[in-house]
Amino acid sequence: MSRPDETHSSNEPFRQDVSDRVADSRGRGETEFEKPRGVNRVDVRHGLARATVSGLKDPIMESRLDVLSKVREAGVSIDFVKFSNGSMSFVAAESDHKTLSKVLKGAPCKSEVEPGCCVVTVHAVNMQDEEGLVARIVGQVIASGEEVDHVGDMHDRLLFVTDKETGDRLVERLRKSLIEGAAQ
Amino acid sequence: MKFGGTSVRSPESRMQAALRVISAREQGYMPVVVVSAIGRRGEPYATDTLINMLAEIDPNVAPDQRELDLLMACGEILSSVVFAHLLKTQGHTAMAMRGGQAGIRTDGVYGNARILAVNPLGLFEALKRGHIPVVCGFQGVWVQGGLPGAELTTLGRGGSDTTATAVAAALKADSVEIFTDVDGLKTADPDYVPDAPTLSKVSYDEVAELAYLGAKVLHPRAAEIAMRFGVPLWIKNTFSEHPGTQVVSREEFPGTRVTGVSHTGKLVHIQFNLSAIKDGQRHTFQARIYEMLAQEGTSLHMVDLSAESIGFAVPREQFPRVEDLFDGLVLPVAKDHIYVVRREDKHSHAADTQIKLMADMVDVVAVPYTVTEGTTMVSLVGHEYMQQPGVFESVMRTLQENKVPVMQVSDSDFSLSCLIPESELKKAVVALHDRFVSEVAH
Repeated sequence: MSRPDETHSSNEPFRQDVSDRVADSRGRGETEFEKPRGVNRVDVRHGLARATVSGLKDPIMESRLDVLSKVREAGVSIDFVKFSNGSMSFVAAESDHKTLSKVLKGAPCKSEVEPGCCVVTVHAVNMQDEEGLVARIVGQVIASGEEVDHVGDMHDRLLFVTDKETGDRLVERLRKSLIEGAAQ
Repeated sequence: MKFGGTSVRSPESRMQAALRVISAREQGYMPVVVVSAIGRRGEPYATDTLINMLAEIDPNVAPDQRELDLLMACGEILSSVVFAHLLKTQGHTAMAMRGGQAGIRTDGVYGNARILAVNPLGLFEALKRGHIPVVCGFQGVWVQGGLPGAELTTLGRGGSDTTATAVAAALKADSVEIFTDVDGLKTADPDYVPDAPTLSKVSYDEVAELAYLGAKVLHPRAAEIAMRFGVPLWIKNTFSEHPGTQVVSREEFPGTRVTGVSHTGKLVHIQFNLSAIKDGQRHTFQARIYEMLAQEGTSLHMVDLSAESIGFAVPREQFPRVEDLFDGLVLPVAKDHIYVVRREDKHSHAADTQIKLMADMVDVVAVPYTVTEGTTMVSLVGHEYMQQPGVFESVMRTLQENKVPVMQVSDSDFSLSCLIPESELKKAVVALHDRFVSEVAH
């Protein structure tokens, strides 16, 4: 709703002057709104560590919960959890790398914690309503030949977990294929 | 002030909506109204009813998208004229305006156009003359260079919400009020959690994430525009005096909190076993699969990549198309090597025939995939909440205690989603809501 200028008499709300907004609108021309269709930005966030836990015993969910419980008790926050047959992986802050290694060594399973991981983020507003866009982005990531450990998604972005060097290369490749390529 | 289909569906509801507009005017505001089509699915002037008029002629002939846009826009045009007339009968001058007349310009993608620009001069002119503009939601025009007139386009999902926030941004309005038939944004689907509280305030990101994960609230496109232009936004109930939900920027509403539990529609999970594919050819195979899904316009959820397998979920209504695509699909990844995709849990005549025909000429390898139908996704959404230690474990434990099997998980800064059997959905929503939302004061 548009509110009249406070200086106008309240019993004359519809005679007030909107010419300032009209003039402003003329000066600006049209206002640009929705971001262009498709991918509009690709960036990378470093400073992560990835933990892989394997050899989990049946019942598998109970074993996973035991591991997660130990991680929680150590006060480590995790993201990008992925379940596979008999194993699981997740990501934590690189600063928690040593704590995480220590905690997982005490768990009845095999574990590996690798520092130097990152998340490559592909931003695309209204991604799910653009038919086939998510598949196209994932296809481009695979076609780049770079190894990706995990995929996450939000309403306006896809997130790919990988190691630092791969992440830096992937960002450049995706910028070329998804942004510069689309603009041509 | 935007009024959705249920707010304009009957003379009584339209009067309630009109009284809200009149009240705003009497408080000294200059309201601009945006309306959706009258009614919901199955009702005489609802969008799907209009589309059915073409299907009734011959369901086998797909209508042209350009003509479909012209037809679909009729619902909002009718609604705006009726609403403007109602305001006139109540003693207030009003002017019905099509999207193009309100200055909404879009790109040329019929059925799913994006707003490129809004020129609000027509709206300002109407306001200056003392009219209440009643703008048709969900539509704009595509101005083609050099051609007379302009092509009518529709905005796709969330179109009327998007119209309202775009118009508000162009007018530099003080606020946008999205009126619906619920009190605001609920912490869960009231069909599953009848006493789910209404959130008094959320950030644009939270509302967009909830909508993305299935909540039927403000569309992410509208939230995006409101966020970019800093337009204060409210979700309110046309039929109650509840204050509603205010949607603000993250900076205006910082802090750690649970926003709610949402769920998507019905999904089908598909998983490829790549162990039969030679090393060095897996990337090519995977890329081809995703390329084909992109060409088919398939929506994907829960994408999972690894050297041994790929998995994803697709909306159930898209599954027959995906199954057709994969059934007996031949992928010549290398010169002397052909992969044929075959569903593992179901006999495929097409795949068997392909393998038989080519076996003498080239090395043929079947790549199996499994299908799990009847799945859905339940999500916990929060603000700076997922980063806390133990949240993931707590979600898993809650679902396990309630005997809800979790088939796959996916998480982001704002949410944690689990793929579960559809039959367990209600139990999962209630359990997560009880555990995480009920303990938080809103």
